[in-house]
Amino acid sequence: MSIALIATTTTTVRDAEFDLIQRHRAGDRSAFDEVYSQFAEMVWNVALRLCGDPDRAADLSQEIFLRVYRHLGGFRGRSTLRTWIYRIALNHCRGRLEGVGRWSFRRLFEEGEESVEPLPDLSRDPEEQAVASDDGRRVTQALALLPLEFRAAVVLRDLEGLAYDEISAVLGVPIGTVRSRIARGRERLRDLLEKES
Amino acid sequence: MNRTSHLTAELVSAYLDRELPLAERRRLDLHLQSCTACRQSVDHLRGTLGRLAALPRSNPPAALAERVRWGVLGERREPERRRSFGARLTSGWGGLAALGSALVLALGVGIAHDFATARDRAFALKPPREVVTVSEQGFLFLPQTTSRAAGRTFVWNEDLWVEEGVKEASPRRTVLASSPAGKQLLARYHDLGYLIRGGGRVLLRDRRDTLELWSGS
Repeated sequence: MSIALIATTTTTVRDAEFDLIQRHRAGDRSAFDEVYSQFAEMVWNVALRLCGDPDRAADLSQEIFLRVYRHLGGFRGRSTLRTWIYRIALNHCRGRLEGVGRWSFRRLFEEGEESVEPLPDLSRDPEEQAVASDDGRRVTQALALLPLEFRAAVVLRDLEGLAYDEISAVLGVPIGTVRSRIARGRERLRDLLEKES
Repeated sequence: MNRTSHLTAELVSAYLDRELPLAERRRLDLHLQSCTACRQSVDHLRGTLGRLAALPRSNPPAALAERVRWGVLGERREPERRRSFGARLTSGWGGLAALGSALVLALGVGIAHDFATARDRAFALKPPREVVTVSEQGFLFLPQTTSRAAGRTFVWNEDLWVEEGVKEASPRRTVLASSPAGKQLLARYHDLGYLIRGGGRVLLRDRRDTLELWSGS
């Protein structure tokens, strides 16, 4: 993608976000509905991967969206709306989950069954999907054992696909710290997965 | 970095993410051509990243949208109440009366503010959808009243709203609406306030517990 095209796309996104915020400030109730539709899947998956418990993830997601609603009018556009919502989500989850420990993860894959409905992967046949789901369980369990700060960095990078500078903006830490947390998180994850196999 | 020192985990990780400056990346490419151990580290990590990338994403539960909607409704009504009170303060005799009320409020009931705010926010909501159906129980046809709140269905049973699927005989923990746990619950599910007003009680599942939420009046 050329630089000119990237710049145009970014401007269009920012314009659309600005319009959305203006509508919200003017009392247009459908503006927040649009924010919810656009970011519900993102907030839910981040909350679920960070806390590991679908019930708790639903509570967290609800609380995150209420915070978004409360502060949306004050959004100044210093970052994209997506980054801003990620930041609210991460801060909220961090506040709620610090000190909770690994117990909260037991429900996600207990009894060998995932209690949330994954999005269908039409590119795989059922057998491939079953193998992937088994491996997914192992990876999720290993992810659950990471300290929260490493887990957050790995989730943002490897599951959400954010670039280092965006993770730095979301977590409010320098890029060097992001790099180190991602590397250490992945290293521990790799060790845990190797130990298991 | 030279031929004898190996790449750090941090470098390998940033290398695979293409988050290194071009010059550094070229240096690493050169090193990897001659270092089997580092090539293995890169392959190892690449495998782990592949497994992470294969984790499926899931859709949020359908009830989440409803829970957020109710929460937002509670938020909307709060400022509306404040605004209408403010407007009364600025108009004629009504203003004097409202000012008097404000002084009384400020002097007398400040302590109760926190609970009153949470409770009023919950009570200010319009009732959730309440449906009366006729269900067959034995030989009798009895009317059954159900209500939707907190993204679930509650069935009215004499003096208690019971969440669908929860047995009334379940061991339970009673939570007073004015207690910290009760306030927390009402903050999460504003619309439960409707069900407990006027002394009502609600039996529901919260995570792994069965709770009986009670207004205390």
